[in-house]
Amino acid sequence: MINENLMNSFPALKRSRAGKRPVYLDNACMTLRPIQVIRAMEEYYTQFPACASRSTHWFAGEVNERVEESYKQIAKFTGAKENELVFLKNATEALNLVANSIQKFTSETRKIVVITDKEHSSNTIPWYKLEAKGIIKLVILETKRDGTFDFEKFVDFMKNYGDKVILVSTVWVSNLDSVKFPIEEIIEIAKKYGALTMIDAAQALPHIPVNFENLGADFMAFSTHKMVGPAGGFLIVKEELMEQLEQLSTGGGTVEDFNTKRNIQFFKGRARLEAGLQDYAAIIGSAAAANFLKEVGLKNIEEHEKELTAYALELLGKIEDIGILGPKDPEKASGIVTFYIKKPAVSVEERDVGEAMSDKYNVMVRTGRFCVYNWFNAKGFPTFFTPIRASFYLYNTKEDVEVLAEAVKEAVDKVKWMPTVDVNGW
Amino acid sequence: MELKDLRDEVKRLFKEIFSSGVPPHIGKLEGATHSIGAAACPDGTDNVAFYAIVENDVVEDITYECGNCDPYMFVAADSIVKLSKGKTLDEISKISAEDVLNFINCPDEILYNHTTEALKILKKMLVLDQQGESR
Repeated sequence: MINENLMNSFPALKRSRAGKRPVYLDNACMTLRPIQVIRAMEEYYTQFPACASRSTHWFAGEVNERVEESYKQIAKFTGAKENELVFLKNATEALNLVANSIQKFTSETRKIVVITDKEHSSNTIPWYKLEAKGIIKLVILETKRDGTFDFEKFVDFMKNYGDKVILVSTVWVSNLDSVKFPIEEIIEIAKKYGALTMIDAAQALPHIPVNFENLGADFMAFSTHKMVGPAGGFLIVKEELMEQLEQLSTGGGTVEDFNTKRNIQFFKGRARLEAGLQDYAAIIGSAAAANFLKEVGLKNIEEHEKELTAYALELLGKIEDIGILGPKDPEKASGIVTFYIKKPAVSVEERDVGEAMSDKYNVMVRTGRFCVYNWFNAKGFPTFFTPIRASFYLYNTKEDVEVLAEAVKEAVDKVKWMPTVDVNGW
Repeated sequence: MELKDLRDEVKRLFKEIFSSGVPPHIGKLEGATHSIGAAACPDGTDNVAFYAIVENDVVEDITYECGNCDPYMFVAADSIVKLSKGKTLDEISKISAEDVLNFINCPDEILYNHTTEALKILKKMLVLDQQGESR
């Protein structure tokens, strides 16, 4: 049960347009921010807007303290050690940091990286580039048509090639349909064959309880702007692997000393990987976000989203000519409902059905392929269907779901005259 | 553009495209020698892709894909593909939007604009410049 007072903490939800409130259902892209996070960041800018880890004056002392404390709080929230955190721009940068470093881990006999066809482009394109350079061999495991992980196929692959695999890198909760991969089992199998593991936790960490230490993964990436925090992200790295990561950028804040003879003494730990002055407001805001979510309770968020998902599936299921992507079971996938209208063209009045729903109902969803192009292409999903993604979070309500259903019904009614198209069962 | 502005004739042509399910000339073309995907409208919302097999300067086969398109672009792309199949590159270079609309007997201004944009993309794919020379 979500405390209503906490739900009322979001200033953006108090806005109104044409007498209607916002129905924000684009949380898989970016979440709204509560006043607690905004105030924490505001405090930095109004009270001690100085550098950390460099100067020794009054404001610097306060920043140092707050930033160090923030890392501790984020570590606690994620179940990681404080010195396992690296602050970056976003989960994309976090995933790229590991990809950029993979040569430090590969050998002649071990250079296969395993991903799935349901990965976000941020966990796909970096590997494509490395494969093109001959640095790795990339294996893309096909997921099932219902979007679930094909565990038997994975086990079979690892049985035959596991000793050649250097890294298994997969999403935990899909941004397409919130299907949860069996991440603990995946990590266990990977470890059995001596492979490293990386988890894209961008859609997991904000929605379900996560403990990095218990998971046993080697790397985990997440974005703070998907967990009511400011724009930013973290890579969590097992302590013993930190020094093997290659810098994405270097210079200020990463070096202890250097001279004209080109001798460089880099700092150890995250300082070596966090080049330049950091977004201290974002680090402090991220901790405030973590504390906010702790107060709400991740279990409560998970249950709340299951209810909303079940309700959305129920209401959308009553609308003719709607196809749902992913399993229709909130136990297997909750928080996101992605669907499409089974008509070849759904943009008639407005250019995009999402735009139409926003204009009339203030319903804010995402349309397109959500950076998961591989899955749509691999499954032969017709290009003329427009997937529509409604992603829920702790501040969404059953009323939001009802407005969504009303908007979708109207969009379908507008194109009723068009032939209903069924392509390969889609 | 309101739904009521969609001419009955365009609606009919659009429905005809799908009268027996998805026709074989919609979708990727295996073995295509040419392909192009581009946004076809000035506001960048219709995404049309063409695929063609060209042998000895003749378009032996051609298909299209429409993503986030309105019915006008479907009718435009569909008509272009039907008109182009079996023609030489030289013949295709001379096809105008008027030719396409005459082919389907539907002189509609909005359809004309969509057809003009789609033709530009097709001709770019086939490397046909304005003088109709194949490069």
